[in-house]
Amino acid sequence: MMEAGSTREGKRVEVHLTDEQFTELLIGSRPAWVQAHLVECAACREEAERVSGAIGDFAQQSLLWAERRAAFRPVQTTERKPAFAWLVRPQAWVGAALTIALAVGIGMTLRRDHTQPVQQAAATSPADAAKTQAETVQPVVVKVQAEAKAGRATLKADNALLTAIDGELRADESTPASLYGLEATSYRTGTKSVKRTSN
Amino acid sequence: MQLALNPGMIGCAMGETIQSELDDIEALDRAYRARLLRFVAYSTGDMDLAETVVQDCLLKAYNGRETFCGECSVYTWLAHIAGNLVRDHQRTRKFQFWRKVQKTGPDLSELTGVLPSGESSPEKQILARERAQQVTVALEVLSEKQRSIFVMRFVDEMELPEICQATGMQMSTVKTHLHRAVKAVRLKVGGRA
Repeated sequence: MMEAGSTREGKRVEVHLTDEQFTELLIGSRPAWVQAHLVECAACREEAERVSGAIGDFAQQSLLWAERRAAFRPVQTTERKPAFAWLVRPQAWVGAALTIALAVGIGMTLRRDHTQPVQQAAATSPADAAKTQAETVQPVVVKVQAEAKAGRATLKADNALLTAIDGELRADESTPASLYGLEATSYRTGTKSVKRTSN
Repeated sequence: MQLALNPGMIGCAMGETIQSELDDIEALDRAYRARLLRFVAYSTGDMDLAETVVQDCLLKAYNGRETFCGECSVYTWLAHIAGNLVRDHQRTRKFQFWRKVQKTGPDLSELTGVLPSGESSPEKQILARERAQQVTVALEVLSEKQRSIFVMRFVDEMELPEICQATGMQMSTVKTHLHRAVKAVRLKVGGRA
């Protein structure tokens, strides 16, 4: 590195520290001639101060950072845990027992819910089913039959009334048969037998 | 890891102070967790990996405390264990190609509220943070070994022989990595490299 620099007295320095010498300087190896050069060369001195200052800032801040990070970490346990250390914990056994009991309980509940309707259906015999059905249906049948009976009676009464009215109306009308002295005697029966009436 | 816990690796000149320090894992945690976390986090650039490695490192050190004979400092020993653990984890992850690796590196912006005020003005604090951020950015382009050695030397202030012990590298190799790291940082900070 052959750059020009200036000394404190204003003299120009033609030779600066090489990279290796600069590294040696930062490491802490300071031969006498390097010390003398730093006294004379402001550029090397300034650069050495700047780089070493930056490294110092880095060291200080990184240590603060690490201390801060380390403060949040839990302290190590003193013994190495065996691979199946959880087996010797009573909490693990209690937890396992509770889990199994819960699983069995849920399973039994679900099984009961699923099998209950089937069991109920299987438990009823045909006779019981018929009896239950008869008890359920009988009032309805009786009611329907009563309604039908009442309907037929009403219909019969209505027909009788209509027949009577029709007979009265026909009696008042003058038919061609009556004009010729004929009279329907078997109108209702439909025999169409005609009897001559005497004029 | 086996190398780190091998009693033959380290001479048996164990001091009582070191022994009592290693016997109390809580004291070990308090004394070294932050430094180890910083070392691993900035070496790997992976915060999740760093926390895992530090946890494992402290536990392994405690479990293998009988093998530590005090030839080096406790931190050097821990750094050696952590380095081996990092290599183990990365070797495992290398074959887990289906995993989407998302590194969560240290974020210095978290330090906004915890910067040491001291006598420095807010302007100086901001300037210091920017310079530290520049170093962080410069480290990101380095290899893991270069970063590790840089952090050991300039952040943990370990001597070069200690770094050689912790990494198992030759002095010349350590110096080469260190030189490249310093060059990158120097370039980023605004030097003439």
